[in-house]
Amino acid sequence: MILRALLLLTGAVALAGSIAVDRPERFSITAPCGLLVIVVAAGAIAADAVPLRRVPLACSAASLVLGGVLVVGRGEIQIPVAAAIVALQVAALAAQSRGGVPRIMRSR
Amino acid sequence: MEGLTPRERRLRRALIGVSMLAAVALLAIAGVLIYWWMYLLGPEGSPFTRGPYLLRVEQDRAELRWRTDGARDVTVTALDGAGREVTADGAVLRSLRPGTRYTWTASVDGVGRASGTFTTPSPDPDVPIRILALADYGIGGDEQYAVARTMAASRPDLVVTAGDNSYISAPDIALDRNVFRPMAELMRNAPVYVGLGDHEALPPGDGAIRAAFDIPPGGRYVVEHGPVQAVILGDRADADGIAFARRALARPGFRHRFLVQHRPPREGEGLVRLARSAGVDAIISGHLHRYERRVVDGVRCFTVGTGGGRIGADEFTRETEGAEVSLTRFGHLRIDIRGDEVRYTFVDLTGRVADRAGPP
Repeated sequence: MILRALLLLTGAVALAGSIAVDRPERFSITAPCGLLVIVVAAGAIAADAVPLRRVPLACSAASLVLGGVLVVGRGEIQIPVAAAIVALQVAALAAQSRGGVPRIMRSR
Repeated sequence: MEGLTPRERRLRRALIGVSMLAAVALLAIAGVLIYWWMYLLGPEGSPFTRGPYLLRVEQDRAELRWRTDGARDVTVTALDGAGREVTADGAVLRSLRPGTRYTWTASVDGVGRASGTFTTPSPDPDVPIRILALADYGIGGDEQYAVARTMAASRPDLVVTAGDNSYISAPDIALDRNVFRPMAELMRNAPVYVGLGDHEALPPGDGAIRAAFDIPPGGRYVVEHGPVQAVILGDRADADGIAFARRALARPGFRHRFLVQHRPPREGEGLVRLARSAGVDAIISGHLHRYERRVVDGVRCFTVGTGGGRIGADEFTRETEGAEVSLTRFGHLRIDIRGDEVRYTFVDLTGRVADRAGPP
């Protein structure tokens, strides 16, 4: 949950930064955000894999890829990418809150 | 995380930590690689394996020559001081303006890979002209590089060599080491008209260097640059060579004439008599690894076998009897022409003047 919240916050900062700041200065906001997204999303993938939660796991994996795009992307692509990162976290949180988590680790 | 045992929770936390650390490590490695690739990795090596070098410069055309690593599409353009652009037809720049300084660039695959300058001869006989001369230089050593540097920096209009351009002989494989690499900057900025010496005659012969510089068999040809004529005669002017020089010197329209022969002339030789009768300004030679200034039968003679080839001890590289100046110093001869006046300066490999002379 902490990782998901961190991803959501980072995505929101990147989105706000890419809307509020023009190119190329926005790179100083989006690039650190992208790097942070990659690192946190790597942890989130591990967290969503054990126990397996398919939708959040897919959202985390997609966030990791989008974090890379946020770092290297040029032009106006940063706004939709940052928005997508935010949307993915919202979707993952919604899926988590609905419950029904299939587990690969059997509880005792 | 409900449903997991404490041990499983610890394992899960460890897995998350390792994943994040792995991501950090991968990002750090990627950052180093990207930085190396973008900022530290040098430019690609030159696609040119020889040159480009100026082969000849005339009033309205200039020709370059080069070799590339494989078939490459090379485009040469030249700009004059007013920004007028000329694009070469192959390696030949045509429709140039006389008496104009051009900057040329040779591009390969859309990237400029070599540049240089040249000045087309002016029809105005009073325009200053700078000619540089050297001989016995093709050894690929530090002294040769130093001499070539001082030559390139003095921005000559043309360069003549008086033989022994490559030691110990002149096979194609040795020319890059002995001629084209040490002289690269000079050859990009002035045409170098090569005279042949005795070392070019050694096996496998002078074929490679003649092909590289478009020199006719026998090594005799004439260079004309505005009011200046230089008759290049090869190693030694025999009867045919003297006849060739006589025909060349009979052509009117030159205010200054020079003969270039590898072996220094001696008193009473036919070439010296011809030079005197034709009013030749000077005979330029090499062979002896010294700089010498002499007057032979009334003709100013310079020996500039000081281009980089080893200078031996005095007992082996002996001073010529009667020489006004004789030095065992590496360097080149600078000939500055302004109107009727000709000034000679011997510049050593440190850029210092070792001798000055006017007409005899």
